[in-house]
Amino acid sequence: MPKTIDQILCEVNQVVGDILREPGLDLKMETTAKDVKNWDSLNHIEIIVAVEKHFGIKFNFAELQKFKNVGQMCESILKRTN
Amino acid sequence: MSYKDLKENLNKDFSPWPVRRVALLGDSATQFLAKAIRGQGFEEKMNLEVIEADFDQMERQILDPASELYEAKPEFIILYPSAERLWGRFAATAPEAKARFADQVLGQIEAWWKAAGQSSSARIIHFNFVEINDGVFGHFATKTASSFPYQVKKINFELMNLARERKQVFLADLAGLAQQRGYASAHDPRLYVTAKMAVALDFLPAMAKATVDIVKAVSGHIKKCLVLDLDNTLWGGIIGDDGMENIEIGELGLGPAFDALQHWAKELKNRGIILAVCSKNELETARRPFKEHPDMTLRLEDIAVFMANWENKVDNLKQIQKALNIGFDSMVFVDDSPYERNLVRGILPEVVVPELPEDPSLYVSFLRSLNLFETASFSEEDLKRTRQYQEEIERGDFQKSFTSIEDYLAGLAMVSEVRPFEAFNVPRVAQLSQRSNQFNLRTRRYTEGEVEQMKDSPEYITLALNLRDKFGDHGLIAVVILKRLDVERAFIDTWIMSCRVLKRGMEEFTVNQMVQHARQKGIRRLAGEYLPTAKNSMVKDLLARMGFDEVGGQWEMDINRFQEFKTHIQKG
Repeated sequence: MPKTIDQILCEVNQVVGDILREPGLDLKMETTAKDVKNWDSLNHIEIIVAVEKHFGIKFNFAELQKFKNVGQMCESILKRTN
Repeated sequence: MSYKDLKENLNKDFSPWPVRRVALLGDSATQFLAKAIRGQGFEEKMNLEVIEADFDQMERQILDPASELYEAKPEFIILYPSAERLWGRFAATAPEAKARFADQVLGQIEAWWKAAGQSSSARIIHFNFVEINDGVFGHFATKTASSFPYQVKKINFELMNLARERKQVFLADLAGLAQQRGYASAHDPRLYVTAKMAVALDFLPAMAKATVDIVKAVSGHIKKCLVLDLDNTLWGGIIGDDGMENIEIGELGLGPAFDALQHWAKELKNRGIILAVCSKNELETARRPFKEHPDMTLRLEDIAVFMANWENKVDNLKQIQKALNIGFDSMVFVDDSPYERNLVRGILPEVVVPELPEDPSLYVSFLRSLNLFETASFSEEDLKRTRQYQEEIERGDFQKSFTSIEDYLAGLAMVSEVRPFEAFNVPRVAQLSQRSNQFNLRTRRYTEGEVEQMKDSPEYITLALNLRDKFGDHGLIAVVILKRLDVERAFIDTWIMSCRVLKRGMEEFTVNQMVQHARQKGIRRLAGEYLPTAKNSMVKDLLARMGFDEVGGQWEMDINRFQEFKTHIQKG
């Protein structure tokens, strides 16, 4: 069964929380990297690679640079997993 | 170890170990590699403080004697010029100069090493180049001097020659590592494009391990001895049961897999690693293939210490350690049995015990991949080492040590089910009776048909025992057949056990059960005998140990006077 956008957001929260060591992380669709403590450029690389591994997808890095918030990343995951 | 695991290590306590400084210089982004190296250091109980320089600064830092690099007084300088940047330089080189590209690069690297040697006493760990094929000449690049593949291979080859002339330089074979994993897993072009990272995240642990392995070896922490089990490790099958003709080696069965392991061990021995044997077997049975089997690569003269007996392996390893007078942390123990591996890990945690794959075909490729035998030197002396140790051992005798493995046995959660012969266990009982040679009191062979008959006959009291522990199920491993002599006397017609479960209290558990079942059937006296064969000397004293009394060449027991043995085996 295809995942819903809510499921994806929930799993993204776990993956990102794991990398940033913030188990209770609560990212919303409109959250941006700037809003999150420790989401710097180095951790960003780890987050992207971990998200790719978790969902078994590869982002297009050109597209990645245009993501404005977590929601857009989730939309891209949705598109690639279904 | 994943990169994430290594990063987790950074939050752990490094304070028990002294700080050791290493400088990391690269021409790509190295922040992740720096973390991975520190994290890997934790695994080896090393507090490595990794100092980085900005990647555009690599050359200046090396060539300027007053640079921060030398001010920091590092113990090691790690140099990682990437193949990706090298390719960029190659592409920018004029066509007519391309055939001399390697010489130019080698001259530059030599100048770095020289400068570092003048400004610092640090050892240098230099990563060679991943041998990228740029797809410009295809395979024809291999015979085109002005191609990148040709030049990069030449650089790597000549680096080895240059490094041989400089004692303080150690090459880390990144090309070899990348070849093992494939370039696609070693390099993520997206990370290179967006973040100047030449190394994929999943490849960082391999580079970090290479670095730390070399630091360790240079600091004198090297493995000196490889201890090998025999049955199903050095050959396929059980020598004591199957006989020398039937062990798998050479062309028989999975023989080629065991050949490969023997060849590997021999190569190690030839470069100065001491080989020892640690096996549960009769000594003479175990030594025979080394003397007589035509397909054995390893011979008795290759083995410095040969321990084959029925004592536990921890005691045997202690004896080997004492005989060779080396530390446990310089020993590697290779055994196919999870039971033995965990016993050794539990009691001798310093010994390195690789988690051997179940499939013997995978033994060698797995062991090779671990890089267990990193070294920082090699000399003529290394070649003669085995003989020296053998002579030393011949001179001095070493005493037996004793280890309590009671705690280990107690923690094994051993459970044995005891069943009479019944339809589903008949085939296995027959098989055990046909195949067991060593722990076999009278070596009576029974077919399935005969076992079937005993199952239904009131004349026999039969026991089939299995054993499982926390590592898994060993299946049916012991069989007892008692034959009624009269109303109150029975004779031990058969007592067989698989040698795999020796010395865990299974013998004692079996005799407890034997007595209990006999008693329930109204038996008051048990009689037994030992029929010697060429292979079953291990049970020569079994009945004496189990509380039987000798009466005119036979063994007898008054069941009412039997004292139950304490064991760590639960009845299932």
